[in-house]
Amino acid sequence: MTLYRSELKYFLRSPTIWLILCLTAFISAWTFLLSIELFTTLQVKFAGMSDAPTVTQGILAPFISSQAKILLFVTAIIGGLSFSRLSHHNGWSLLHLSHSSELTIVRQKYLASLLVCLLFILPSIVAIAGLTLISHSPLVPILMMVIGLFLLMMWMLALTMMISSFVNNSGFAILLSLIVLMALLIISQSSLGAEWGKNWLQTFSPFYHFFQFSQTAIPLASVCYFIFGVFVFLWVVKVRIVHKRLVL
Amino acid sequence: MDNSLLTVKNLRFSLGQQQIVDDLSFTVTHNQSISLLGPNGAGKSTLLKMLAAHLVPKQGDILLNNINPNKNRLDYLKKVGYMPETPLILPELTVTEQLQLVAVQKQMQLSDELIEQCHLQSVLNKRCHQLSLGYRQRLNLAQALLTQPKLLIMDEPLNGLDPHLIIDFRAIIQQLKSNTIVIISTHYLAEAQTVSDRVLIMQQGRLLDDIALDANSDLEELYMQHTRTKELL
Repeated sequence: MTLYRSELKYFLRSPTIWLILCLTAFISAWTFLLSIELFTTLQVKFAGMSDAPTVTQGILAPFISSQAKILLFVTAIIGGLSFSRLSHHNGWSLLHLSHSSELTIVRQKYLASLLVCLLFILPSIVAIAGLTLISHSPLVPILMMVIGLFLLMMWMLALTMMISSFVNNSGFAILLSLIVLMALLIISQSSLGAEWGKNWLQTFSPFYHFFQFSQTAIPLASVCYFIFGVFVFLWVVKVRIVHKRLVL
Repeated sequence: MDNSLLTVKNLRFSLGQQQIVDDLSFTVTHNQSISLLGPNGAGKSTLLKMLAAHLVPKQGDILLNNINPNKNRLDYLKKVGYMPETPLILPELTVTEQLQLVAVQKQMQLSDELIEQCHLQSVLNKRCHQLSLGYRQRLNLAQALLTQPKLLIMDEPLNGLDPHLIIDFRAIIQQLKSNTIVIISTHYLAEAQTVSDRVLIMQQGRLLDDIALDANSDLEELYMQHTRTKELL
């Protein structure tokens, strides 16, 4: 039994996680079906338009965008629980007695949490793939957006795990993660000072970088932003584990 | 080269301005059972956490068979078993899963003998959160014994145990002390007298006394006498 497997067991045996999974699946399915219904209704009016919205523009892109917002809640819960819950049952002892390096511990916990988060978006990915195939939509822009969604999830999970490693109360860790992620979402949507040129504050937000993936070319700066962010946050978690040995 | 099995030299730990362990030194030259006594807040648990390499001392050295945990942490951990006051319990796992997890973390194999020694056979498939306090302590002990330690550290292992379990624990400690250094923090003087060869008395982070016990020693009287004398001083 590795730390990775024990982490998976923790999440998969928790009724709360399954309840949240049901709720998110229900919301996703509802929004997906609603958008299809709306698009079908409007399709008659689109018939005469020269630049009528495609399935990608009308359904898939907004749906993937809504998945990013759902993931905001999911990663806040999964990441928020990962270290903060250890304080309840002397779980930090497990990390302190481990003969593995701190980086291995962080990696195993991160990968397990990532897998659980993937479970949350799996039904949506299947729905997106299905609609793309049925509607003969171009694959590249959809694939780009899904990659963007995946990178966004990795980034948010690493950030929430970092927050969790600093907090001893699970509820507070989740709340703090939600506040931080919501703030980042608000920053990305801000058009403050747009008339003065580029709003540099927006570039700090992962959601801004996620929206860059709606183009057909790979936004390299955004890919670097996500990958660098994940490494920095996980490195801070590693430092935090070492630091825990210096304080009572 | 030092001949002692365990050397603790000028150990200090502070939290802000507060000295929790203050210039504490002692040595252990042969395998024996040592009780650590002292009032609440004396620094016993902090000392045990440092001995278990769960806390890094601000100053001073710990040497177990000449291995310093600050320099060679992984080798040190292989020789130490630590039974914390609050048992390490992952509620979502079964007893077998938890033991396997700790075994993997300590890079050891889980043996049937250990399960039998700690009388855990009947609860192996139970989730940890369903265990009674007694079984939690047994699981706690099994996790500490996984590495077949040279130094076994037990932080108040008898808290909340029924008389049968106390007798079991006593037998396990008697059995272990022939080839292990056993350090037990406790508030029960009668138990300390029964299982220990030596007693360390701590107060306000300092080591007040280091007493070798024999059959005729009256620990209760010695403890009261020593703590009172030092308080007067």
